[in-house]
Amino acid sequence: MSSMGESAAPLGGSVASSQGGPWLPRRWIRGTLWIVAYVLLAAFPLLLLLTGPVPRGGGWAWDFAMALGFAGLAIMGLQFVLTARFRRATAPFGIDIVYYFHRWAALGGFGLIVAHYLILRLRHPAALGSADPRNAEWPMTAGRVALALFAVLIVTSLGRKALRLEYDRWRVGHAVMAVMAVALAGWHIRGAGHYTAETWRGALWTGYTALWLGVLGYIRVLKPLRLLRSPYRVIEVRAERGRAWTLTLQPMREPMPEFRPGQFAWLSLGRSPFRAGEHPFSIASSTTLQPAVQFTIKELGDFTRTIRHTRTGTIAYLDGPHGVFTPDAWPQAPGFVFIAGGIGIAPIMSMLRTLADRGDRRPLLLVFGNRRWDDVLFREEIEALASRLTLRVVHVLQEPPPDWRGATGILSPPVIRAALTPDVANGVCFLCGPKPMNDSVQHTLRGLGVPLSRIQCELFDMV
Amino acid sequence: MRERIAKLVWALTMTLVIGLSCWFAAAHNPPIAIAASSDPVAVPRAKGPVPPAAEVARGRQVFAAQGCATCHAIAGEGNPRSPLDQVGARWDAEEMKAWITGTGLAVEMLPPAIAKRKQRYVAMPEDELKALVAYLLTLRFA
Repeated sequence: MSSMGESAAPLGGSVASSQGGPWLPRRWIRGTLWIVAYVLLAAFPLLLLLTGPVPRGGGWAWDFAMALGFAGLAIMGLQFVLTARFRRATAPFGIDIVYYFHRWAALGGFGLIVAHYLILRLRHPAALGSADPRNAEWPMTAGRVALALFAVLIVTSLGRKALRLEYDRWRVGHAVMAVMAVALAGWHIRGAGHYTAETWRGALWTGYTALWLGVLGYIRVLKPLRLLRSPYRVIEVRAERGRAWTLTLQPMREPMPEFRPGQFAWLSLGRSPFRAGEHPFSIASSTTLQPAVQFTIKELGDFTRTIRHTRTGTIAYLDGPHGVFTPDAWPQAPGFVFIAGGIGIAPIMSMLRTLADRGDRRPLLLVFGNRRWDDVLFREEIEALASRLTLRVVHVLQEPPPDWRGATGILSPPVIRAALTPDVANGVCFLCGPKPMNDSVQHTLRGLGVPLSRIQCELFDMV
Repeated sequence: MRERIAKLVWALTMTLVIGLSCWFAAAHNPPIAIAASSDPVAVPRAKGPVPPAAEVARGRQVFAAQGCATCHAIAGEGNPRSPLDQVGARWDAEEMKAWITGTGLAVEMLPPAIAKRKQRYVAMPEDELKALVAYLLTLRFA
């Protein structure tokens, strides 16, 4: 079967035909190829500079520091590629993990750049010249400003919540600063560099940096243009339990590629797709409802609090589908275990609804943690779904009503252990909830002997 | 699971680029080649009279003020890619001026980008250029 998002393979009711298909091995092969491509692109500048005759060195420390600078900038430039959301390239991994990697790569790239600077500062201070921009060479000042911008980028990203930076503003600032930092660093290399002085090396280096700019153009111009061609319209806004709202969207022209249950999309509401105002949300509806899609959104942050004011008829744009958090990646699984906390039920609803619509009879378990019984999202529908599926539901309440006879507290090891009966013990587990819940449940499942490969998580706390 | 793979790819990438950086440093700094000693023009030659000390001191100031150390090293201070030690033994005053300003014989011997970059020093005041040349001419011995 093709990778997700590319609608070459039939989805929905006919998924049974793909059972036993080579989905997983192909995913591994593709994934490995993309990883190799990334690593080669990160190493490209050094490989380029090592090709052909090398100029006379300036001492081991000097040339080592230079190499670290090239590698650091290469990794920083590739950050644009990682977050360009190329569906074909991210599909084998899930885009959430690509963002996770983006964070690690930023720290690594920054570490290399800091080492580049520190080695020169300590070993060759005179070569750095004056730090005063009025006296310094422009490329050197560009390098210093780039270094400072990279530091600001890292601090504002890792500490966005602690610094109380509003998401949309942070995103715009992040993009602007990132472009400035990489452009300045590129100028620093062209201006200060002996290594790129030769014409052919200079040209290849220019081509390499043009690749990053091309990706940027793709993200900011081509992709929004493509989204503009397939607008959606909000046809229903429905209040759910627990301060959540379900939006139903219908494509006005071309829909996005078919999604798999559990996938998500970036949603921008009532704005031009050229403006950075999109947010990732799991699709909650059954795949059989396509081309319509439903998102169930809880009021949690600045943007989600405005969802209730959405009017029917509002234009929306969807960038998706993304993610590998889907039972369709496991056509041969003997059963599934879904463990959700609060709004984490949204992608799992898509899975349950789809499995029910397909008439899937594999044994399923849903462990659903909430604060209060009245807030349990889709309580009635889950009950109805249980009669159409081989589904056992375990509700866990933190503040149970007086007559509650079910499980209470958080999704603690005893609760999970009691719920995980032998019929579903070999199933694939899907966890979706707040990060502490995911971490602790993952730990519990590992303790119960569930292999890591059978525990699926969506890392939806991307920044 | 996927986090582990991501961290593994990260570690692999970092190891590869740091390893390549080591290779890069080693490739640019082969253990034996001491370029200066095998250079036939490095033999100290007398190039006219010793310039006055005041002019040499002024030239030293110009060297610092123009940020020459960002590209050149003298006695290990500055950018080690293009050391100027013994440069005074190689060139006379006119040749030195051509090297500084990226003109004359320097045009053929320098990479075009570097020669172009040096041409900005053509606009340097005559007395500063003269002082700089005087200073560089004193660099006759390592």
